[in-house]
Amino acid sequence: MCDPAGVGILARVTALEAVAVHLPPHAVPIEAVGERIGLTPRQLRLFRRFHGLDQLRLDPAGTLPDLLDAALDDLPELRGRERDVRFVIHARSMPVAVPHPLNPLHELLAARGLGHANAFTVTHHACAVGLLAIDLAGRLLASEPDPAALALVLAGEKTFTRDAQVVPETGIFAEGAAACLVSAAGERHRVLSYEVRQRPEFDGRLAEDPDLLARYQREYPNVMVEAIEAALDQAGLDLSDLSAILPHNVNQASWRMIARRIGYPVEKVVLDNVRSVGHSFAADSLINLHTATTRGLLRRGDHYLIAAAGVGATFSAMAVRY
Amino acid sequence: MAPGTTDRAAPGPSGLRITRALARRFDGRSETSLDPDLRVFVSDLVRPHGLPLREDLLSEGVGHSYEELAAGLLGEALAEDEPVDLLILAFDTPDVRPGAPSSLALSRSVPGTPLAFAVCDQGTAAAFTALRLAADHHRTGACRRAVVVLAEQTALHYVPSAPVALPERHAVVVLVCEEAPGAGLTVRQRTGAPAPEEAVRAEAAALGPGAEVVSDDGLAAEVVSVDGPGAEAVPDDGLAGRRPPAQPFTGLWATLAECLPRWRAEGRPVLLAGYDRRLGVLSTLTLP
Repeated sequence: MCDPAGVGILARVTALEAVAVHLPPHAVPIEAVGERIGLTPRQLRLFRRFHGLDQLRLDPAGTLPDLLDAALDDLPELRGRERDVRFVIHARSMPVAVPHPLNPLHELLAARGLGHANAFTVTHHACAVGLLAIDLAGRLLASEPDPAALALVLAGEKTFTRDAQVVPETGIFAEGAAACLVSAAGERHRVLSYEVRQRPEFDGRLAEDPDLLARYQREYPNVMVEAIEAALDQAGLDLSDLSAILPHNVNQASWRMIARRIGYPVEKVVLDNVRSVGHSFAADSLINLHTATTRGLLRRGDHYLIAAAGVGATFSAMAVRY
Repeated sequence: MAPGTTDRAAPGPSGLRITRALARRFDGRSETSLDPDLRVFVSDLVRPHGLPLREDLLSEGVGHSYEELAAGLLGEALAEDEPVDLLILAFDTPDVRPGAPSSLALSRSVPGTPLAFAVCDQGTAAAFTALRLAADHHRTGACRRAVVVLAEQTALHYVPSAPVALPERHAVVVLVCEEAPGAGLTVRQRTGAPAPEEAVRAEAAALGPGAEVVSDDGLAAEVVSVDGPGAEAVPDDGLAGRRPPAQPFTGLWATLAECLPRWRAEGRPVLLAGYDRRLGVLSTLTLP
């Protein structure tokens, strides 16, 4: 990208005003899901013992709008400010989630008093798309003359097909959801940088192409680290400035390896939800931010880094000051 | 600003302009339409909704991939020494590779290493949103050259839950947007506008005499023959002002691609208007 540091992202405010999370109450051991989707005992042992997975939050009877609606239920900061919401962005890993031309996002928004907002889905960054949605929200709001204008980022998906159930040898998906209000004037959770590295050569059938999978797994930590270091550089931060890293919840092993690689204390990488929630697509980062703030892992003025990778392949990192 | 209206701020000293627009329609099919994964995906997709599969299309291998359709046109649109900072794919009907990150794949068909992503779930308004996001990337210093790719393909591998206009042919439009001195493109979008035709007429009038106004099928026919103050009626001597062909997503933009060089040569401002009736989203694009 051209000149992102000088005149771009640092010259405007993108602030996360409020984050809400919905975790379906139904917690399922990975073995139960694995049996249903055809994972072998060896694969399940790998997920449990090596990758650190345990249970998955799922909502078998719920629909996609049910998930997003439940996240909005837990966002009291939205109430009374619906007319200030100019944009709603569904950050979605799967480019197609319902049969065309159904559009449950717009139906949901109409029912929530948000039907006036400019609403669309952003996709193709897989599980890193939540960071993109936050960045886009900030760019859209930068053109809004009204300082009260807000954007709403929604994340959460159904595990409706195999590609939305498992990443081969890497992770198993869950159905947590999140909603995040973004403003261009907030004081808290200000985005300092956003860096993306994309490697389209890794687009393909990882499950059926062992060579591609091996190359992807080999390159994964290298490119993820590259994105993290670039985001820190752009924000003018060092690793030692970070109070926490909020990863995506694909597994624990890859983040432990990355933490070792960059020399960052693994206990400051928020990994609890890998075991207790599972990999909830693009909602992971927001779920982990919610965990970090509610547990007091982050305090006002702290810096933290959100990082995520998505098959296809996109590697993203975002530095934020609380 | 009226509630429900999202309007971009006044342009700065430089803006993003559409400098090239290429459109192409295609016949044929992609080999990926016979990929067994497509059947698995659409079966899982429609099951909760109780919609029947189109076994005929799945067994014949009908439909095309946006990556295959757009790659060649991108090669024609950009020279090797024109690096792209941003590539946005907008679509309404799903790709025949519905789970694939086609925009990333297409980033390999342009010079540079652009940030690539896709926008969808907004009907015909997604094309305008893509341009708006490109302009906002420029405004916030992240892009000097962007490419917006608009794509549609003919095959829906299930029976939709409601009547839906599908394109007659596969089609792609490539819009090359580059930084230029002066005002750039402006996108306005509003949801639930009570009188979309009137809103378009007002915008057309504001552009002054000689403005070209083109709208899609979502707006009443008379909107393209603006008789109000300052806007010129569009003669039926070319593509301008005529109903777009049966390409619900790309038709309007194919008209732009056809006419833009002439309008530029004549120094005419242009207003493109689209109204997605299903979602109630009115979008306009002004090219100074």
